Amino acid sequence: MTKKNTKIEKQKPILSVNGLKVHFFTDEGTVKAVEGASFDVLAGRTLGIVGESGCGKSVATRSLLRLVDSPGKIVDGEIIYRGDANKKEINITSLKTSGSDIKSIRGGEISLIFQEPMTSFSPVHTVGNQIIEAIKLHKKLNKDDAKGLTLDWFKRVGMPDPEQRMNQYPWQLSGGQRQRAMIAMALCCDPKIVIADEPTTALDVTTQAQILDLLKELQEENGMSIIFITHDLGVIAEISDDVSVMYLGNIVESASVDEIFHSPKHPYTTGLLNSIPSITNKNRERLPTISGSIPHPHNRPSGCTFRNRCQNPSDDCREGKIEMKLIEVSPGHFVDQCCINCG
Amino acid sequence: MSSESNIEKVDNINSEERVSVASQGQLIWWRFRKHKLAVFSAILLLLLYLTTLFAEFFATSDPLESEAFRGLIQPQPIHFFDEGKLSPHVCAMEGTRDPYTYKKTYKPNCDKKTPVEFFTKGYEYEWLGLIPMDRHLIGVPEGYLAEEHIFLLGTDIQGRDMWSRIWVASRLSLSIGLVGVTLTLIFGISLGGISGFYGGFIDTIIQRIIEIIRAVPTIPLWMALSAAMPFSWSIVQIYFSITLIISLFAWTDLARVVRGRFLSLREEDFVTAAVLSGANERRIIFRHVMPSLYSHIIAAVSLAIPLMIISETALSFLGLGLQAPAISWGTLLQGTQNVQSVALYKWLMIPAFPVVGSILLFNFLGDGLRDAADPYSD
Amino acid sequence: MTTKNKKDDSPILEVTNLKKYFPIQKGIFKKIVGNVRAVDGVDFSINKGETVSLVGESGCGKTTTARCIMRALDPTSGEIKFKTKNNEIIDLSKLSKDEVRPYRDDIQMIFQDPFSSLNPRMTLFDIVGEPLLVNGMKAKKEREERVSEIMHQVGLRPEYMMRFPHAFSGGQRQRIGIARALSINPSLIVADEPVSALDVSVQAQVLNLMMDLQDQLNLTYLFVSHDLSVVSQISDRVIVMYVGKIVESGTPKQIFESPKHPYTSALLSSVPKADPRLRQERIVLKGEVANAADPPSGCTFRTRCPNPTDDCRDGNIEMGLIEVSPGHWVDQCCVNCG
Ligand SMILES: Nc1ncnc2c1ncn2[C@@H]1O[C@H](COP(=O)(O)OP(=O)(O)OP(=O)(O)O)[C@@H](O)[C@H]1O
Ligand SMILES: Nc1ncnc2c1ncn2[C@@H]1O[C@H](COP(=O)(O)OP(=O)(O)OP(=O)(O)O)[C@@H](O)[C@H]1O
Ligand SMILES: [Mg+2]
Ligand SMILES: [Mg+2]
Repeated sequence: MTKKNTKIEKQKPILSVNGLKVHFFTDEGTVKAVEGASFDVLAGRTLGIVGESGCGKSVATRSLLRLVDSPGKIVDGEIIYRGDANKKEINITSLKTSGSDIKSIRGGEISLIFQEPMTSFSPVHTVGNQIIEAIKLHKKLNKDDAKGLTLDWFKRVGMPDPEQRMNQYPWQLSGGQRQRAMIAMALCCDPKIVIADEPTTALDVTTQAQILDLLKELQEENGMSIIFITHDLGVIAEISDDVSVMYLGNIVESASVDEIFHSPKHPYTTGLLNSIPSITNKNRERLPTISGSIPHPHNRPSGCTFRNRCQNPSDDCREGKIEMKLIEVSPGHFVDQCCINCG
Repeated sequence: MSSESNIEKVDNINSEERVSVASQGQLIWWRFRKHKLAVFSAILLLLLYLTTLFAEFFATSDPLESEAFRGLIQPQPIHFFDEGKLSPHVCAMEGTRDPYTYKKTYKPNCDKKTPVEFFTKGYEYEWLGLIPMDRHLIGVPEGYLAEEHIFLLGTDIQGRDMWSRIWVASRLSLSIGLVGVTLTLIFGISLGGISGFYGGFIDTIIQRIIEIIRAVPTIPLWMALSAAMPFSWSIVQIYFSITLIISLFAWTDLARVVRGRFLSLREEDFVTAAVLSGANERRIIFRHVMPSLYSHIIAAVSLAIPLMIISETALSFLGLGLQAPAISWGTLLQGTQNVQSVALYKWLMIPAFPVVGSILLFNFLGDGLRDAADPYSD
Repeated sequence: MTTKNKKDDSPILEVTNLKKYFPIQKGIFKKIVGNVRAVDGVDFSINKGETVSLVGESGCGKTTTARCIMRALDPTSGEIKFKTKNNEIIDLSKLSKDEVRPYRDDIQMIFQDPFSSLNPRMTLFDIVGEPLLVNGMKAKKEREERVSEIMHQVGLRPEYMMRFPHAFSGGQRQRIGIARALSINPSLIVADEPVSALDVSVQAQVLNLMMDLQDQLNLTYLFVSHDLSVVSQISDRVIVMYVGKIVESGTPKQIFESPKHPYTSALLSSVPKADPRLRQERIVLKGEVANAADPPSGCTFRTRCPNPTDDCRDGNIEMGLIEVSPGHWVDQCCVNCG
């Protein structure tokens, strides 16, 4: 890991998200699902995005592929993709949602792994055929080559009995097998970035461990970047190189995984870390909790969104006078400016 | 730490938040309100049903009164002004018989005017079959001849006023939908519910029955059943048998939906929770399962009513449903069964408009309702 | 550390050789072609005031065990001896659905899914008050008092009583579920993955609440979970299940610090540690989980065991727990292969 750190340091991120805002214009009002999130994805590394349910993780990452559902719109911010050193930068926010540019990025350059693979596979085709179709579309291969490649990928993702599984329907596979098939589908076109949206949340620990190992192995082979979304800090510690902590549509802290777990600066990060039960904890000890609960996205507090749960906010912050903005407190460690001193 | 401090921590934020305490009904209403077309249709339908209660009040002449010498008069417009003065009247229709075809044709003769009055005294009727009344919205004063009357939509071959007949017909035609749907609901919910809740052998039997009914072609069976009705039956008896026949088919759809919901609700955690707290079957069915079905029932009803109206019209049109002297939109349309009348007496087809109109309104309403009815869908 | 008021040693629940087979039906005639042995001979007991946890992979039969004890399912065979409030010992497995009803107020359940477990069409008062109502508390005033008392106890404002569940967050809904379970003063609570659907910070609040309530009300918990860190936090005893059978049981210390069964060790090593410095090699089990419809003879774990004995590999050793140290039981085939 340390080896990786030094090597990557100076390189330009493969994907930079700056001040992304995604709003949902519903009948009940505007839901500011993402409100000025910024993060970078470095080549060949894994960025973990953590945060509680509803904080906007999925919406933020789906906007990277322009896959925001209908009342939702990207209202501000830019997403710069630098897929190739020799090609020029692409600003994804300026592409048309259904144009050919974004279609060639989807699946080809950036691909998605979902939490529930059942919903992303069609139940009426065999998993093999669905992957073959994807390969034919993106790599312009003929059927036999595509089939061979699919089989190859089934072997690489550790699918037991790959030949037989190719001819099975998604519902005939177990949860772990379906997730492997999903990963094969996401990786078959050699994407530069893989977005894994809670890929292991529906699985039990042993299967989860296998999938995490698999992703790490494949990353070592292919050198792709992974954006790994989860609310499980254990999984984050396990798989990521860098971590961004998200709270109510903003990134409130981002740093290398070691910094986040060993010198967190933001009170929300600290709170999350403290509330994880651990096998090494004393039995029947009460867990420290973050007081209060997440405000409803309809009524986001002004200024710092965390201020009403903060243990010791500064006076200005308490009144909502300080805007949220990440500032660098030590090399590579960014924290929201209101909360630098209240962690 | 005590749980005391915990309370404050968890809830002080949410007390600021204005969380709604809306019940199912309110949520449905809020959603429904947004469908402008559906709300509009609902209002119109409500008005329509209200007016059927006062059908005779809107009628201008006795819908059953036939006069051979005033047959097939074309619609007569009301003139509101007479030489610049407000004085509503219609021009009298003068019939001349074509010497070659013996066809009688009418021409308005505006020299002979029949004044039109509002809230006038007209033919006598019993409102809702109970209270004797003789007031009408519009009409001609007493003392005018039968052919000097006002025929807003013309007359049929027997000289009966179409306008009045359509109003009176709407009562039967629109109510047949409601009565039929009530029967459908009773059959559909009870049989579907029993099937889904108890499962096993009963379920298998009911499901087979439904399959058999659905396998029978509808029209021939309708025809057979209607043909089997004795001629001696009164209008009321025929009316109820027709609704029964129509709902005989409609309930199977509802029963399937209800069964499916019962089956899935039986496995819901909140139903299990109720069972585990010791609730008996009656409570489970009526407190937990049935309320979750309302939205499906609303959806089914909004589809079933227009279907019933159409079915009745179709049956009566074919001469298999209600028979004269009963007046329904279907029996009125019987008059258009030959090409001649379509070509020459176009106004005889006017009863088709209320049929199409009311069915459209029901469909618009149904769309809105189905959308609003499941407030927990997301 | 919190202290418990009293813990006596007499079991409140004693499960003996519990089995639940689900028939596998085929064709239009629903012919039974086999059985899924979801729970296949499970024995354990729970003492008053204790928290006993059931852990294991998905599909190993945890929920089925819990539901059999609740009699939401009818067990295929076995005994479920339960000590009621009046110290009467009854066998729940032998009673019919109607005969169980009077004892329902003594065992209650907390569900995993905070959304599907609350009827969206009922107010909190109706939800939490339902067990009271069906168990004979007809007076509305009395119920209101009890509901507001219990809501206060689980950390919800009694003013929320007339709200509908859709106005609450996942964590609050889970509190409502707990309030419903507690409203009729049960002595045993079966909690099926009560915190699995919750975020970490909310999960910690709910776990704390459950521990507090246990201390205050001297409750007994059967806690079902696949999350070993949660289990280690809350339990007095841990039972590890694998394909319908118990393979190891003991105190959290015994299970987490010196696991004897290779499956337990593998499970433990799969738990992600919330510390990047502790990334470690995992014990990866080879092979597939045994099929509960067609389990192998002898030890069900032998197909994945890293070093089975010869006898065990051939399926000659029957499964059965033996006590390796006081209170620490391990399946006999695997005592020496961990
Ligand atoms: N189609 C939509 N319409 C309206 N609001 C939406 C829609 N999709 C998402 N949102 C809102 O956007 C916010 C962020 O949602 P998002 O799915 O990104 O959360 P998340 O962090 O992925 O949570 P989880 O961990 O539960 O997956 C939520 O408050 C949600 O209510
Ligand atoms: N109603 C049922 N009919 C048939 N098989 C069933 C039924 N319920 C459960 N099973 C089977 O019984 C086995 C045990 O299921 P159970 O739900 O008890 O597992 P679990 O340990 O609770 O798993 P999870 O962690 O996924 O909740 C599984 O193989 C499951 O497929
Ligand atoms: Mg998400
Ligand atoms: Mg379960």
